[in-house]
Amino acid sequence: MAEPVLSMSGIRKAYGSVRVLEEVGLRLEPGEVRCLAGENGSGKSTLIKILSGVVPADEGTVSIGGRTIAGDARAAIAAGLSVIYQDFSLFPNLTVAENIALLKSTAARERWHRARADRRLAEETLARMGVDIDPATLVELLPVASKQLVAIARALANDARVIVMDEPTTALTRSEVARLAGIVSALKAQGVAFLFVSHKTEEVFAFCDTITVLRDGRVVADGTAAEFDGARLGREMTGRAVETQRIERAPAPQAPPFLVARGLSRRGDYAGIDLDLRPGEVVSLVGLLGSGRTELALSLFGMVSPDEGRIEVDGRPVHFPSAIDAMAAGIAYVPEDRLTEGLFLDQPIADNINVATLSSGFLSRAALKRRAVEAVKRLRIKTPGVEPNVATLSGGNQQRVVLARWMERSPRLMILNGPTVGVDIGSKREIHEILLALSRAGTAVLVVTDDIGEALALSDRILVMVKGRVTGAFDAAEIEEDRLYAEVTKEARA
Amino acid sequence: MSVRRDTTGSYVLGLGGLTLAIFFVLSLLAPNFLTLANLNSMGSQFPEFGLLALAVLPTMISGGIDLSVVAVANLASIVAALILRAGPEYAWVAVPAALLLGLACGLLNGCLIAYLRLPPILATLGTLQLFGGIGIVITGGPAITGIPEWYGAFGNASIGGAVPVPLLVFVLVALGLGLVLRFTATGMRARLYGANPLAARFVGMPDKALILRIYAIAGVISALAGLVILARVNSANADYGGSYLLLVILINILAGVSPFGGSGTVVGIVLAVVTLQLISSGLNFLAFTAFARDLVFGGLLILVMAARVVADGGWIPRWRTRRAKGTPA
Ligand SMILES: Nc1ncnc2c1ncn2[C@@H]1O[C@H](COP(=O)(O)OP(=O)(O)OP(=O)(O)O)[C@@H](O)[C@H]1O
Ligand SMILES: [Mg+2]
Repeated sequence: MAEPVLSMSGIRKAYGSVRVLEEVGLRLEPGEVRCLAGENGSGKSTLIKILSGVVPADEGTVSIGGRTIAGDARAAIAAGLSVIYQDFSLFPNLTVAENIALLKSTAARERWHRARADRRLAEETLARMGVDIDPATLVELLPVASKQLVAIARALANDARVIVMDEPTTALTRSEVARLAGIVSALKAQGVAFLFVSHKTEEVFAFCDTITVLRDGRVVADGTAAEFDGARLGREMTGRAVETQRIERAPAPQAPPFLVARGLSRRGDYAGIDLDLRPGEVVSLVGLLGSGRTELALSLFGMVSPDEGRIEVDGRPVHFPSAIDAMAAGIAYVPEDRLTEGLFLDQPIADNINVATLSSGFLSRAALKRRAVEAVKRLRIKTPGVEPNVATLSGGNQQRVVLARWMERSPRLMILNGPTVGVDIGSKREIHEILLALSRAGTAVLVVTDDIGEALALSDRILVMVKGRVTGAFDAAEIEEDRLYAEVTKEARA
Repeated sequence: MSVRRDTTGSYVLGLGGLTLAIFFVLSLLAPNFLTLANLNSMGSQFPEFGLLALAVLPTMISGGIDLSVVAVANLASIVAALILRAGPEYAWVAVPAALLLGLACGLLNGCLIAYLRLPPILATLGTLQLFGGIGIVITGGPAITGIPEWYGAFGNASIGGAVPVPLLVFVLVALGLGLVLRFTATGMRARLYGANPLAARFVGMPDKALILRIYAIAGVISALAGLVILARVNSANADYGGSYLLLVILINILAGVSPFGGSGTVVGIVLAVVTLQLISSGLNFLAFTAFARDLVFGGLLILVMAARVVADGGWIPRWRTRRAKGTPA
C-alpha cells in the first residue's frame, strides 16, 4: 500500500448528548477518488468539518501529507487540503484569474497585486485541468458548472493534494457531470486525491475508486467501488433494502382540474403555457436550469406575476398578487433554495413547522409544540426535540421540516421545486411516498425538477420544459429514461 | 454553513448574574446605597429610558431599528403639555392625544419602511429630524412650562410610598410587550421575519401589515415615555434626552438583542436597564464624574459584544453567511 496522503482514525464527535461520529477512520492515497456515502444526518459533513479543522473532534487523529492536524484550519490548508463547499466561496466581482490566484498570493504575503502573474498562474492551472475558460471573465458571469471548475482550479493553484467536495453535482446537468468526471480523472493521474460526498448513486459509481459508507456516525462499509452495486450501497447506508423503481400506484383518478392555466406568458421567462393540475395526480415539470420552470412555478404561487394568460381555480378565474392570495386558494409551495427561501435557520424547529399555520392573536405554545412534535413523528425527522434551531439538522431533515410546514395546511395543490435536492436515497424514496400518499388523498401535486429519475419514479404525468415552453407531455409509466433525457436537453444541445 | 447554538437563554442568565454582582459590590462599597430613598430615586429615573429601550426592542427583533423614539417621546410630551396648559376642561384629552400622536408617528415610520422600502435606519433617521423639527416649530425653542401641579405629582408619587409611578408604568409596559412578543402571532412573526424576510414572503407572511404594527407599537411606547418624562421634569422640551438615543441602543445590545434581527427578549432589556442604572448611580455615589460613566458604558458595550462573539461564534460568522447568501451562486 502506498503512503496515504490523508488518514483519519478513531474520530469521535458529539454535540451535547447527540453522538454524531463514533470511531471513524478513513484513508486516502495519492490519486485515489473516494466517495463518502451515507444517509442524511449520518455525519458526512461533520467528518469533513473535522478533517478541515473547522470543527474540533472530541477524540481521534487527522493527518494530511504526513503532518498531524489538530483542529487548525490553516494548518490543514498548508498541508495540502482543500474543501470546496457548495457555494464555492468565490468572489463574484473578481475575475477568474484573480479568484484562482488569490489564496496563493495571500498565503505568500504578497503586498502588490500582480495581474500578469495571476493570469499566468490561472492559465497554467486551467491548462493542467484541460479546461477552456477565459481568465479575464468576471466570475459572476459564469454558469454554475464553470464556477465549480474555477473553485477546483483555485484549489490546485494553491497546491492542493486532497480536494474534498461536499455534494458537488447537485446543480449540474449530465454533460457537465461527465466533464467534471473527465477532469477528475486527469487530475487523478497527476496524483491529486479526491473525497466526494454525493447522494446520486450513478455518480458515485461514475467517479469513485473506493467507497466509505457511514451509518449513524459509524463506518459500516469500506471497499473498492467494484465491491458495491446500487442495491448494496442503499442497503449499507440505510440498513434495509431501498427501492429505486417507480412507485407502484393505482392510476390517477380523472377528476376535474383544480387549477387550470391557459396561455400563461412572462417575457424572458416562459410563453404560452397551458396546464391542468388535478386532485390525485402527480405532475412533474422537468427542465434544465434556466428553462423558465422556476419562474412558472413562482407565478402559480403569486410570487412572480405573469404578463399574459389566465389562471383558474375550481373553474373560476383568479389573480394572485402575492403568496398570501395563493395560499388562501389552497396552494402550497416548497421553494428551491431551502437555506435562503425555505428556512428560518437560527430559529426553533417548532416555529419553522408552525409558521404557515399561525392563527392571529394569542397562541397556545403548548398546542404549537404538540403539533410540531406530531409533525416530527409523522415525517420521521431525526432530531432530539422541536426546540433546537433548524440549522442543527442535516440537509434531508431540514427538507422534511419544510414539507411538514406545508402539510399542516392540508393544501389542495402542493408545488415542490426540487423536493429532494441533497436528500439521501432512502429519504428520497420516503419523501416520494409521502407525496404520492398526499396526492392519492386528493391533493394536486406539481413537482418541478431536473432529476429525471425523480420524475419517473414519482409522477403520473411528465411535462418537459425547454427554453420557456412546454415541449412535450408524457405518461410517466410509458416513457424511457433516455428518451426523456433527450427531450429535456433537446434544444439546449441544438 | 456555520451552525449556531442558541445561547440567548444562557446569555440572559449571565446578564442577571452581572446585575446581582454589581448590586452587591455597590452595597458593600457605598453603605448608603441600599437606602429606600436611593432605590426610590433610581426607580423613578430609569423608567423613561427603559420605556424607550422597550420601544426599540420589537423593531430590532424584526431586523430593523427605530432611531426616532426620543423625538416621538418629546413631541408627545409637547402635545400633552399644550393640552394640559389649555385648561382643566381639556385635561382628559391629553393622554389619549399623546398616545394617538405616537401611534401616528409609528405608522408613518412603518409606511416608509413597508411601502417605500426605505431601510429602517434611514427612514427613522429622517423622521427623527422631522419630529424634532415639528417640536421646535411648535414650541419656538424654549421648554413648555406651567403644567398643572397634579400632573407633575404623578412623576414623583409613589404607590404605597415605595413604588414610583413611572416604575409602575415601565413594569406594566414590559409585561405587556413581553406577552405580545412571546405569546402572539405578531411576536412570533416579528422574530421570524427578522431572521429571514425572504423565507417570510415564501410562507405568505403579511409583511407590510406586520411592519406597520411593529413600528406602531414602538411609537405608542415612545409616547408613553414622553408622558412619563413630562410628569417627571414638569416641562416639555423639543430636545430633551439628547443622550438617550445611544443609551437606548446600548441597552438593546447589552440585552442580547441581535442587531441583525431574529432574537431579543424583554427580560434582557429589563436586566440591561437595571444594570446600567446601577452602574450610573453607583458611580455617582462614589463621586465619579459623568465622563467616567460614559467611559464605563462604552467599555461595557465593547466587552459585551466581544463576549458574545466569542461565546457563540455570534455575529461575525452570521454576517459572513449573510454576505455569502447575497452573492449569486
Ligand atoms: N452544530 C450542531 N449542533 C447540534 N447537532 C449538530 C450540529 N451539526 C450537526 N449536528 C447533527 O449531527 C448529525 C450529522 O450531521 P451532518 O451535517 O454531518 O450530516 P450529513 O451526513 O452531512 O447529512 P446530509 O446528507 O443531510 O448533508 C445530524 O444529526 C445533525 O443534526
Ligand atoms: Mg451534509
